[in-house]
Amino acid sequence: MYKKINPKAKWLMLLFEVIVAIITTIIIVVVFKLFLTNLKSPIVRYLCIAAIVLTWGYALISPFVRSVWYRYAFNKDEIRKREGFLTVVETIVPIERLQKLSLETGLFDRMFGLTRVKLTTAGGDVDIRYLEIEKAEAIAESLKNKINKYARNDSVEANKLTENTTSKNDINESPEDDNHAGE
Amino acid sequence: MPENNENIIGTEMGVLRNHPSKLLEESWAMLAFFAVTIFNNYRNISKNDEMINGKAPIIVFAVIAICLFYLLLRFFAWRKTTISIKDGLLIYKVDTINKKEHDISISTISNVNLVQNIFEMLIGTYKVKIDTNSLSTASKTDISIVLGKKEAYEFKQNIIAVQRGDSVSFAHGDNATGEKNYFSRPVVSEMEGIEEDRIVRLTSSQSVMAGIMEIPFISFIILIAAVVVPIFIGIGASNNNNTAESVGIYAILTSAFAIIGMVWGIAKNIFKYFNFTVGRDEDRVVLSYGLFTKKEYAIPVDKINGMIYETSFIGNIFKYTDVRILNVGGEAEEAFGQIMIPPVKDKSLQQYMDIILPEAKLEVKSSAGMPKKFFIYRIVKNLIIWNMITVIASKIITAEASDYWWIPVLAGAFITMLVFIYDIISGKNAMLGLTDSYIVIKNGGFTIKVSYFPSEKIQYLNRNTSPVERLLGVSRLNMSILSGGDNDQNSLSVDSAIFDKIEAVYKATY
Repeated sequence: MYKKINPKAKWLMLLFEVIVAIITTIIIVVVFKLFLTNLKSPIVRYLCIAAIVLTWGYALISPFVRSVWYRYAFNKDEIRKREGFLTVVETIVPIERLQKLSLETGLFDRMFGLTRVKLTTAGGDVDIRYLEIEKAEAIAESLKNKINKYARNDSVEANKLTENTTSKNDINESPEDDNHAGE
Repeated sequence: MPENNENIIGTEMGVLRNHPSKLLEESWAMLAFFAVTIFNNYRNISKNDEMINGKAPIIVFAVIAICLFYLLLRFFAWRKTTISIKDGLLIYKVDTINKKEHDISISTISNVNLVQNIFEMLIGTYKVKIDTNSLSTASKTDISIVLGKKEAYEFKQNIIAVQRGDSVSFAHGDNATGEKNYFSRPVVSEMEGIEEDRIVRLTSSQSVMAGIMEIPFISFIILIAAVVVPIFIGIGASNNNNTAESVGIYAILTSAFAIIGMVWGIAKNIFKYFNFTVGRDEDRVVLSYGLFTKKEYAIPVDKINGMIYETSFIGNIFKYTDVRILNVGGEAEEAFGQIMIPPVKDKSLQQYMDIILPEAKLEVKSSAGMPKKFFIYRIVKNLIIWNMITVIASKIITAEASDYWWIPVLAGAFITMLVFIYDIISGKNAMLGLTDSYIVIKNGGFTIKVSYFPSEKIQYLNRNTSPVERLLGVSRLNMSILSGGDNDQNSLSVDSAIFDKIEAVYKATY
């Protein structure tokens, strides 16, 4: 059911994490030099060193672990994703809830021939990353057809509603069954 | 149906303009600056002959010119701003040099609310707040409409009429487009149209108790800190007579400000819940409350994306709970839940909910809590972390100023104790459960929240599992819902077995 991502993804992740680690190291060193050098206690120095070591440890190890964990699945009614390093997050997005779909390819993504599919719901976005461009385009096309189908079904139901005269009182009914009496 | 049927002709409403007081409200700061500038410079010039020959008159003239220019611009903007309803669209148009037109589909409007501040109460106008269903368009549809009482109510009634598929009442012939007010429906507060047995009205004493019960836990902490810390500082400075006196004054002032702050917080809450009334009108919940800022809200029941039963720290002691609803829109302070029922006695709460939302079946059918092993692990983990932070802070401060070593120790001990108590209470309260159609999350330590989310309103689900949680067989749920403020709703770590049931209930909605 779940599919693995392209093996090139771990190198993309590594490149990104190394850049972040470099920036983080520079920030820690600058903050220490500017504000913390005069502190008498050596603990702050040790903490800064520990922070830098942890940052680089994460940058060099996490891409290989995350690329193993990262999986995705496009099913008939839902999209699933699993990702994480130490904490694994499993996401379920019903296709019916999707409002918008987009393909986004950043500079680093382009270097590795990868892209991301951004799924927008009313409550926020979910990204499926590290997909080959052709595969992502095929997935996007298929999802767009499904989104349009759900949208057409919703508008047919909405038109039926305006012709009916029953009123809705139960919060447990789905929105398609909404009706407002006009008297 | 409106009484004057011959005036109903279709779905078009003529053009309205904002009440002229909007111009005053937007320009008062500039008018105040203008008045102060004139007054100050007039006094200075009349006192000092040298200034008359200097640059002062030029500056005054320049300031006056800028102020007048600004006021003229605001006047044109007001004059050229129009509001109308046509073909199911609410059209808000600003026809100045920077033309803007907001076309909002009325079917996407979730709330039409009327708000009055003190100034508006005095002159009899209302701010009409339009909220739409979508977060992505929310910022673009923050249009500001100020109307007189009659126009405001009729405007709201016409929006609701279009949503229900009714016709908008529109006076034809001589009273066509261009007239400010030509609606024939009687002006009626929405609450007046609701039967009495479907209305909940809080008494004055209930409003006062609601104001007291809503004090957040952090206010008590601040009050304690504001009283205790100066005492300790005073003891430390007692050897030095000069310092002791000033520290004593400082201690009294700090404590006084903290007490005044808490009393003012209670007073604000009491004013907020003054005359609190909530009613159920067919498919909408209608709210009216407030003394200095009066609000009238109508929330469609099908736009309620969640309900939160919240019990504050003090509410826990006296058994008071409030109910908030989550939907898109509302005022900024209601971004994390629009109050539907203020803090009331638990035994009254169910009666009120049976009146307002009788269809909400909230009996939890299955649930999972925090397993004992994870409960203990969480407490031990936090104790270790906070003790480490206390030791490190103490070492750093002692190295810099050895006399004040006790500050981080005392603060660390206090925070560690609070975290320990919080972990015990929140661990016992943690629950993730299911009713027939709601996912239920219970969490909180000093303030307890039980949140109900209709499963068909949940946009997507996340299940989070850390390495320790995996080992101990627990997970955390994170859900995204459509809400004006807090889209992300999280549970604490609970037994993983419930997640299969949650997934099954969620899948049934699509």
